[in-house]
Amino acid sequence: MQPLLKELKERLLRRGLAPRHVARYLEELEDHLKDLASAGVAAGLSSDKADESAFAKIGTVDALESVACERRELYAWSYRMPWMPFLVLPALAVPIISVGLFFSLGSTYSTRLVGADETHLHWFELAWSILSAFIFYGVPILIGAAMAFVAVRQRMKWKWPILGPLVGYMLFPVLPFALFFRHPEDPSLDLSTLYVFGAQMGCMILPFLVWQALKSVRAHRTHTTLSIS
Amino acid sequence: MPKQKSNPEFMSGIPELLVLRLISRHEMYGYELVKAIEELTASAIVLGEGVVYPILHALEVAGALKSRRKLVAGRSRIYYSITAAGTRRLNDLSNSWIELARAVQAVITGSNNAALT
Repeated sequence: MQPLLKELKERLLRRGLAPRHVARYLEELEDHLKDLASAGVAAGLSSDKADESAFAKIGTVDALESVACERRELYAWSYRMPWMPFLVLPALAVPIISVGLFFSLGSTYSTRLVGADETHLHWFELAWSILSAFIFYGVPILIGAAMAFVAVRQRMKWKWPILGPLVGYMLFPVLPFALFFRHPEDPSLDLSTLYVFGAQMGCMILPFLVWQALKSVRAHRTHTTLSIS
Repeated sequence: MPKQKSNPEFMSGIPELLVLRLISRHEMYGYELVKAIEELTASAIVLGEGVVYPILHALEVAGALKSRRKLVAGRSRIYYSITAAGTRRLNDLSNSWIELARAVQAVITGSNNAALT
């Protein structure tokens, strides 16, 4: 990609334009540059001169940026309503996915394991432990990774990817609720789990923090390499 | 100081009007459109080469245009065509433009009769 288009891409994403519109804009500009250059060559210019003339005609990065940013319809919804992907959606997705997963396995326990032998029960307990760990740590981290992906793609600063889950954590720091699945025959084999919503919201920050740390390390390495060379 | 009256819709609607009018004739891609505007207005209106794309994208988001990829001479191009909503929008913009042009003409010629011709 041309340096002009690379710079334009970064600027537009930072200004909040939707990545799909940015990609399309750049693709069409690249095609337009090719057409202008071809027209220049057809008019008798050398290849270098035709390229130069094409860049002069297409406009400066500032002009291309400003004309795209005037169009409010082209902004990403995550930019217009950042509270939605970074607070409301995760706050809804975490309990829905978690409780859904618990119930899917828990209902199996209540209905299918009546009279099951010890081996089956042992495997079930193992599955339950793995699922619990996945729900407590895996689900929020996966959702956090999706949030980090949106934030990185949109070149967002730390504010919303960190603030959103933190607000969720502060609003529901101790919102535990317990889930019980009764064994139809033996109460001593009842299953229960304690679900703490706020803690899960807190976990969502991790992927973005890890990504930021990796980015800092990479930037530091690049800086060091440049300094040495 | 009295607030200056302006008609931003009139000023900013011109490229949109031209784009919709040209695309209403047949589907076009960005470069073709810019060149067509240049030629048809005898270079009186020259849109910045890169300016046309955000207008096209915004019109597509608004449902006035639709796009499709087409392979032409080995190159994949994005062609835009007008929709029913786009035709309605074009009619509205055209009517506004004709009214305003008549009004301006009446002021310039100093005669109300000009508005009726």
